[in-house]
Amino acid sequence: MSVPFHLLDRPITEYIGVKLWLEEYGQFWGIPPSMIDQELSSSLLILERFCAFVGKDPDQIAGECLRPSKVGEGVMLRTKARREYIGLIADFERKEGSRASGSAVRSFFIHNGVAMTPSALR
Amino acid sequence: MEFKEVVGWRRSIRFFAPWRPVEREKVQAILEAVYRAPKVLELDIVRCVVIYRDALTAEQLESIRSPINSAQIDMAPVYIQFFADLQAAERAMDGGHLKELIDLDLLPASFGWTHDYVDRVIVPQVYKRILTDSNRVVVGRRPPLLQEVEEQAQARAGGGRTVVAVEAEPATLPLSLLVLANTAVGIAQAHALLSAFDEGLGAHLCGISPVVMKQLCRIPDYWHTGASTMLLGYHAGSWEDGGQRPREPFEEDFFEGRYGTPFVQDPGVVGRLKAERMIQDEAPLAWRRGELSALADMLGLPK
Amino acid sequence: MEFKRVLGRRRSFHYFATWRPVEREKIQAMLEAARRASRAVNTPFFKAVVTYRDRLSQEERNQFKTAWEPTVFDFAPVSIFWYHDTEARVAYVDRLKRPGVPSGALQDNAVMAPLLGWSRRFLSEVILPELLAPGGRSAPPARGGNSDAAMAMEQALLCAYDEGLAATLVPFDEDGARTVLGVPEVWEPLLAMLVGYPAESWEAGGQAPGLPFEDVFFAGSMDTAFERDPQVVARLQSEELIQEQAPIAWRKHEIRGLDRMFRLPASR
Repeated sequence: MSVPFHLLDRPITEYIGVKLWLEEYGQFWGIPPSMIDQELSSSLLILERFCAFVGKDPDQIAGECLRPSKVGEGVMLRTKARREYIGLIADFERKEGSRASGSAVRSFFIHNGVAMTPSALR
Repeated sequence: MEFKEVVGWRRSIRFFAPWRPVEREKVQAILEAVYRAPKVLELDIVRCVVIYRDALTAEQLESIRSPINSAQIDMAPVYIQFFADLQAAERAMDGGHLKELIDLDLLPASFGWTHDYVDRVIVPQVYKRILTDSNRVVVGRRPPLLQEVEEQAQARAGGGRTVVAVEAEPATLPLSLLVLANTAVGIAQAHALLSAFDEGLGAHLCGISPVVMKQLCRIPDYWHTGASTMLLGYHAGSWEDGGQRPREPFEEDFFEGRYGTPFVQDPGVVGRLKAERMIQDEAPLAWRRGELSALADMLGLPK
Repeated sequence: MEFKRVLGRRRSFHYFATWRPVEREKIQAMLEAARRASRAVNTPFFKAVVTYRDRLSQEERNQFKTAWEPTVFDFAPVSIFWYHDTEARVAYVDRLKRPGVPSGALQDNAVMAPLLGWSRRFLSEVILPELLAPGGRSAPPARGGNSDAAMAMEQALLCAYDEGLAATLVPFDEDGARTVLGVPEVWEPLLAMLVGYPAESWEAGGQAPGLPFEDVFFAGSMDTAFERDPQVVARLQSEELIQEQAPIAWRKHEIRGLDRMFRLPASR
């Protein structure tokens, strides 16, 4: 079930960062575009809840971590923002009581170009 | 294991079974392999500190993590940090070790090795030149003073103080000494990495802040590290780990007789080395993504 | 050969069988081993030039020599000159077809995976533009040695022993070697590897002594030595990693015999 969230003014799959996530995820894991929404349906719901948790939409979140490169094309990581989000994801994971929730959000960040790893489970 | 198979199975293993400790005797076996590595110019320069993940405090563990190595740091139960003791060349200036090797008939007189030759030629022309090389290179900057760290912390906490970056003096080393140190460490790392796989383990050289490792290992200033840290543990995935990494054409790396004349790769030799398992199936392996997906689920990592 | 035996057999050899050529296929095997060494971002920082003693004049060989064991260049049938290519990283970025991080090969081959934070966008839009930026690509080549290049060299050296050969590392004269070998200025010399069949016994006087184990290896921090367990030492002795240490009783006789055989100046 989708969580009502006033900051999302359109379906979450219409945000640029989410489209990119689905496309890149599908490409890496070999999932055809026609099946990617279904494959990531629960992850999309988790991302919506994370957006509510931080009070921002997916593109705002990705935009805070990346900025246009000063030289040439491409983007640069904002390392301070990334560190803050790494902490927020850990908080969100604790709140949800589920590593899967943290992993879904991290996957969104990673496929948008914001490299990060969590601690590994022991 | 056969030597060539060990070389063939070595990969940069990044997925370790985090719950499986590494037996101390295997760690020692790796160190013994390093102990038997050739010493460049007969200088005993390499030092290693073995760090057990589970012996670290939460703060210490956090200090060596970075946004893109946290998972690897967490999965590996053992880290081996390599250092170069830069005073080794100074201590060798008395020629004592070389004279010992001469007396043991390891450096033959018929090849010019005498005590007199050590004193008259080797010490001044080899060791001293390394130490006094006027070509110096920057190897980092000195770490911030405690006062600067405190000021930054206050500023972060909203203390309102402006932090002025202090232009730190760059740390420099004689170029020849740095070449010697990096070469010696690389040779030692080759022994350590291969030995890990021979002992049934996986390993990977991981970039961790040298400043942090120096503090963690409480080493003196004259120990240098620019070297990656060796992460060690049991494989969490297959030994194939996706397959051998692709390489550039052989002829770009090696030349025969003179630069410009490539050392042409003989496919017959490649065939022999495949049979001896030094050359194995190259990435990508068809089932790699399935394995990664399973590893992600098992280790709680993102997909 | 068993891995540990290879490591245990390695020594600094001096007396090579000058009359016995080294098969080219064994040299290739050594080079193949070097290529399989660990390397940061899959970049080949090493380069090597293989030379054959009998194809070089005495004058050319003399140009390689330094004060450190100059005579061995006249003994070993093969000398391999190892270098650190200080422009390797630049070349890797410039030529994206190479199978490194910039080319995306490691990502495509699922070596660098999302599990560890890597993605195609991180590679193509964060890492690559940074590398291609003026500060990244045009940074001056850095001398100072390279541990990855040394690792490759060492894997070749160990492979020599596995192939039944002996090999020794010695320094060489940079300018002289450049004259003979014509290597680029951006190649920084590491060491020369002298290769051949040994004329002396595999013991070659025994394993050399070094600092005490506990002065080299530490546990946790350098305040605590890594204590050497004698049972592990015993296992490694049985696996021939640890072999008889110098002095060996008959070594002086062996050296005298070798000196007579090679008509070298008499030993002490």
